[in-house]
Amino acid sequence: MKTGIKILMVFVVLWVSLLLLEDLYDFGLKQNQNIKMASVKNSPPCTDLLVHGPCEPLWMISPALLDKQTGISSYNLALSHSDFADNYLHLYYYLKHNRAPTYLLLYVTPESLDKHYNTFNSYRFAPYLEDSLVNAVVKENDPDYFKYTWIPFMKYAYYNKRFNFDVLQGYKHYFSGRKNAYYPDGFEPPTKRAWGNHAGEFAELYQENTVFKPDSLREKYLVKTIRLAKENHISVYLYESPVLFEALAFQPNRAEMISRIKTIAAQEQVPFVQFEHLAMAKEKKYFVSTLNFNMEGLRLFNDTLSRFIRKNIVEQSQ
Amino acid sequence: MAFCSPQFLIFFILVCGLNFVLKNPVRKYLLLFASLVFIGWFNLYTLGAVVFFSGFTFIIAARVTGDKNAFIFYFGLLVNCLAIVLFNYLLASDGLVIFSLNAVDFSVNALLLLVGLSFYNLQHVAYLVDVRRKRIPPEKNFLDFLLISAYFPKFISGPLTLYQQLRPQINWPAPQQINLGQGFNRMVLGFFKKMVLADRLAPSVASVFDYNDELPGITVMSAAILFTIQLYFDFSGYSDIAIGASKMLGIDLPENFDFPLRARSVTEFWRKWHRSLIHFFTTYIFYPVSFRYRRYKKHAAAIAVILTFFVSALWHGIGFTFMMWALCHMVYLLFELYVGNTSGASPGRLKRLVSAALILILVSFSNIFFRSTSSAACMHLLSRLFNFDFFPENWAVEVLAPIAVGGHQADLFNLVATFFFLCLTVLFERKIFEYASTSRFRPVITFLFILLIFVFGVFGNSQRFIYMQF
Repeated sequence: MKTGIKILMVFVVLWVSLLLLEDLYDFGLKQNQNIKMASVKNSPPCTDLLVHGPCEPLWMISPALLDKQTGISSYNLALSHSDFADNYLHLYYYLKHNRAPTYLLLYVTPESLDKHYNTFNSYRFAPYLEDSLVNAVVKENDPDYFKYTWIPFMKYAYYNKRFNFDVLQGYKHYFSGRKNAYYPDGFEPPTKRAWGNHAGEFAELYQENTVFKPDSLREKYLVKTIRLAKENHISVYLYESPVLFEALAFQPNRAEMISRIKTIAAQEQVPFVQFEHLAMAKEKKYFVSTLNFNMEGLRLFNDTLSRFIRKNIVEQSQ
Repeated sequence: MAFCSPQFLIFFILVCGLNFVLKNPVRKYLLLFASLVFIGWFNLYTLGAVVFFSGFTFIIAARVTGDKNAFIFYFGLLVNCLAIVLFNYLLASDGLVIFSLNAVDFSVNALLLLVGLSFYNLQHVAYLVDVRRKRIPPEKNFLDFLLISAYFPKFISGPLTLYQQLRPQINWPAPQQINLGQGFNRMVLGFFKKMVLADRLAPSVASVFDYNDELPGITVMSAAILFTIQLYFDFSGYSDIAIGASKMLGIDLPENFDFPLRARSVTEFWRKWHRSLIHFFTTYIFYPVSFRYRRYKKHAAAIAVILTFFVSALWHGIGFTFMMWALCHMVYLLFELYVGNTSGASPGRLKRLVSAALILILVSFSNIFFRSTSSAACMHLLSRLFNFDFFPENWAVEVLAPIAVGGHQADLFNLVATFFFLCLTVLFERKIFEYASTSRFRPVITFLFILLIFVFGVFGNSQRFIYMQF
């Protein structure tokens, strides 16, 4: 057989194999209980209060601590490094497979509106691209990735470092019949570490005179997330947790960004609750980075937050 | 147009198909047109510079042969050499042209303004010298000269190809089926090395080299060794793609690597590493200098080594780090020249293994200078390396986590997968190379390699080829 024909045949067999492999990955990822998109479908939490946002709520709000004091059930849907489009799709998928919660606590901060911080993690939605809404959001937020997804398996190959382990773990969960996530209430406790992020000091994270730049796509998906919740009769509360006081000096337009968030909140008729001025914000010992607490800070903040939820949200709605 | 981009694959399939059916001289002009499109795709500055320097060198070469034309010859050399130095420092950042003394930017923020020109101008330097010494006649057809200079598979980072190596081949008839299979195998191997090995190692290396963390010496040394391996697979992967693509077009390019990780001395390492550049340096610097000072015997070779590595450092970049890198190799080679035992006796397997490991460590140490993003970063890494706490208290946090770029199970799984493929490739390197170079096309092996690229290769965050920066 001529070499040209053989090369062509390799590509045909490869195309078919990749289609099959794509199905195997789809299935494996949808069985992985440690992935929130899969977990909220396979084991619906169906709670009263949903906590949502990027890593700050993920690592700083413990449903177990809240539930004890508020008397209602809660689930932490937050995901590390996620932006509002990411949050929007997770909320959409949660609502698709769960009873709508009564309250949504959504983390918003000036960093959330600046695309320099956090991102849209397209890989999280790869097994769900057959859903037209997921498809459209991924296309809008990561066109570089989306344009190759028509090639078999490319939706996985593009970010394959994110998938191989998760697929294997998914099959392990499937064959062992596991129904619970490693973190069943969605909360991931902060790792034990001394003050410092990868860059060392917060001044490196916030260069002197860091000016936040609001991003229209972020604002658009913040509004869409609020509206999606309201369409499902959920009471939405935007909130900001304490920020290390020392860092504020490096952010000259933080107040301007806060007023921008307040304007959006007012337009959408949802409250924006700030915990920025708690006394703990001045104590570096509670933080691992400018926006994240350690376990000690977390307990203090969850206590304050629980009291706020009980008094201003639960009791008022009764 | 980067080799690891879908645009290149589409472009190459089109060019390869047309090249297969066309006959010369049309085929030759197709390759010229394709080369200009390929270069112009990067940016028009590079294309403009290529046409300008080809025209300049073409005109100069026609006038350098006479005894009275030494000035023109040296002027031509000077302009091409200055261009190499200058182009290494022009970058584009935020839409602006910037001049940076730090020639290597391992971050992807600054884009290369002019791509491939340090290789390109070096070929012109060789061409001018050869014409001047009457080894070859000056080219009479400008379009042929332009094609030989700008031929796209070797344009970005070589293999550095001399005029006389390509000149006869551009008039050869269209390639045969056998070239397609052989070239295709080689390209697949190149993509595998780049996407599955080099690009998977890149984040591990970057997590140590790009941050000034207080890491123990063992982590720094491990990252330096990984960088040497990354550099090897990145550059040899690039060379495989270039050689394979060219083979499919019916033109043979010279080999660039000969299993350098198995070298048992630094001298042997340099016979096996980046051979086309070393061939250039030995032909045009080392041999002439050694010959000139031959009356000093061994010392002549020492002078030639020092000069060769000084020029090599300049070619890579003016900075302190490259000079230190070159100095390391000067010391290694001079030690071997004066003290080392280079007898041809064949050592046992264990001795070979120990020698290869030692050479890998020595070369990796020099690469700490090569890879460091600045002099300050380099000093920081060296201070960590020569610190008393070379071995850490907590291996998982201080060694494994930085190398795995995280401490999650998935990060460790990725690291294990990378090491698995790395070990297999290094162990069976010769066998794999034989498969990729054979004239027989083996569909099953090729299929498996492509499948591995899809499942384990880096697509979304792929790194540009390291030697594109020089």
